[in-house]
Amino acid sequence: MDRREFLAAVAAMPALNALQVRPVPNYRIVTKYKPAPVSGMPGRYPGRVVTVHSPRCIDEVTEKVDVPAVQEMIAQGMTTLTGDKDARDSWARFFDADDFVGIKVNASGATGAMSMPEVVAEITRNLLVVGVKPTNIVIHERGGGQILLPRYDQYVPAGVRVESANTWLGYDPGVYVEVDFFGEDDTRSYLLRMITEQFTKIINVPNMKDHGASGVTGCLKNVAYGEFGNVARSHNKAQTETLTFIGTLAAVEPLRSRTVLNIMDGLRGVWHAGPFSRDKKYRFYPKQMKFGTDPVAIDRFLLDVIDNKRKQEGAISVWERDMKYFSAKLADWEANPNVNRFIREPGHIEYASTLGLGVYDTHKIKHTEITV
Amino acid sequence: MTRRTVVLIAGIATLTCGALVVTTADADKWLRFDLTDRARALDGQVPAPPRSAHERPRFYLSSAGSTLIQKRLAAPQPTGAEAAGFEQVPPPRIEFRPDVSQATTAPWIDSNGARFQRGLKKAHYAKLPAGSAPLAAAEAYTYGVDAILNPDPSDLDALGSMLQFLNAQSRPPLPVMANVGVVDDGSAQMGEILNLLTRRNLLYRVVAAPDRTLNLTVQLGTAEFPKEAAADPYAFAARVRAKIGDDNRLIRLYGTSTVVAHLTGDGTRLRLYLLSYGGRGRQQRGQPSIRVRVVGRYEPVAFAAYGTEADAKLTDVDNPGKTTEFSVPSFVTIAMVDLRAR
Repeated sequence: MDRREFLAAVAAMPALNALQVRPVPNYRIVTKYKPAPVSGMPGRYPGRVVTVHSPRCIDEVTEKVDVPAVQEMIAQGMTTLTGDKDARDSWARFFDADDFVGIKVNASGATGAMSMPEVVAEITRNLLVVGVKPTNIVIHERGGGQILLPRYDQYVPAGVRVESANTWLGYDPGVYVEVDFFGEDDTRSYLLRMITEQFTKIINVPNMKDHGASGVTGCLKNVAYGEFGNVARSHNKAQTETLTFIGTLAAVEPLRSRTVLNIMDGLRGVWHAGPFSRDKKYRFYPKQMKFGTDPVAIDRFLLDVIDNKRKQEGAISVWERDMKYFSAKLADWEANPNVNRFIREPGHIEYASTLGLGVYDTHKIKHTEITV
Repeated sequence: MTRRTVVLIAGIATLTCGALVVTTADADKWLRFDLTDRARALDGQVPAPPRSAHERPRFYLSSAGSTLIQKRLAAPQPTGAEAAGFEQVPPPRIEFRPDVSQATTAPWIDSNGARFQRGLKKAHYAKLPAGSAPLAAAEAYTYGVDAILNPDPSDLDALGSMLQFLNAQSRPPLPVMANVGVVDDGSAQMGEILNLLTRRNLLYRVVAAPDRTLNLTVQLGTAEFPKEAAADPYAFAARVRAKIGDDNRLIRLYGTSTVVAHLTGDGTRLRLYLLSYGGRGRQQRGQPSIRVRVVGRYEPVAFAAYGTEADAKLTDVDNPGKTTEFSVPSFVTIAMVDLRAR
């Protein structure tokens, strides 16, 4: 299915009183970077997802993370993904001593649901094992405020840095997506300069979260809206352009080629009012992690995790487009899981598949589930 | 004064009150003022030298600013007939109205730019809430308007620094550059349209009749711009923008929704003023770096900004196609860029 067919199919979906599907905006992508011979997304393992469950990985009452359990989850996830016996060999397939690695965490809503420091610490430890220098590891986010809250710096060895666009290098004026969505005057979204000029590889560490605009926020949104600036402009009243903007941003070089590994931290998640909600009533504990190089395939299963939890809680589906559930008041949406703040666009994941970023059809995804 | 001396004194001014980076070999072409007097003025040794109203606005202070008057950073507020020539204007400020302006999340800017573009040359900022006096001074300076400032006492230090900075800058007498000519009917409705054009950086100048050298003429009551279209100034500004075309806009700013640009020039050289209306945090800590696109192939020759690092300079200068792009480092309230045609 190409982009045109995709949009035609979406438009044909039954949705009473729903907003009409808009045409694909006129995106202008500016970059001097060419795709790598083996593109990072969907990467070495397209259509492949490994899910590792661990009932003991987090205590639901104290939210204390069981570090040995996390270590085992990551080791099992990586070896199952690559087929190696030794986790070190698995990591060595992706990284070596010459790499400068950016770890893209998700700190939206910290210190609520976020990329857990214990998970980030274990990823860092594995990078060091295969020879990546501590000074060549940067835990990062676009924004400079929330990334400081989890105190990642206290979980990683000296030399590993925590940075944002505010603190290091800013944005690259030569790599951007230009588009006018709703008449906004600032029509460019620039990519972080640390990605274009420093990183050779990126590990994407999203969470399992509901998202008021895009339906869910997983691998694709974490690198798209998390590595480019000026992205909130894609939401206007009930409408959001996340359907096409997320995939478009994720496909920009060199972001696409350098994002070589996705490790979704699902120790705890958010089933409503995401991504920022710190409200414990919307928090849940999937107690799992997903591994892969294909962000579309991982996010496809994330959709089920979030939507199933919402069903379990009696909330409307992330696919619900009926305007009767819409409220422009933030407080309504925060208080009631049967209210939409925007007409959500969970179709952004399938749309990204039409850009070649991965496999959406579950029948074509090889999904292995393990419990440790 | 030799070119070398000019640059040397410019360096002294930089250390004193901000950043003035001279990057051209013929700096004296650009710095057409006596920097010796300016440097002495900074020390309070002599009054700021007299200037023509066109080239350099005058600042006056109410009694609240007596300490700055004593430092000769501004003159006492005029009285009598001279005072009557000043028109009261509201304070420049920003309003965050998420309930109303959700469309772009861009805050509302209360700028006097449109009033000044309409011809107001003497402004009385009679009520300046705390935090707004430096911006008021910068706003008047940008548009070449004489201003009476009545600062909040808590603003005196910041206003003094701003006046020092502004008094130290050159202000080449260049005409306003614009995409749009506006035939001003003097109505309040037109005033709001001009306000929106200012806030959205749709560069215009008021004309008596259509000017064919400009991309577009806005005249209410024409087929292109019927009077009823003015009922929604936001939509009206969007209509003007669409008719110009973003590629043709003389100035585009990226990375901000709170900076207003004012462009002067004669085709061979440009002076770009950037005014940051950002909230109090940005007035104190600075407007983050922004990207600027100018139509035409230019090279930057000078950069001056308030509140920048001493070694701050324009970066990532590029000439894609028939345009010029550069990044302006973080600044507080006002930055000025001089460009020369390549």
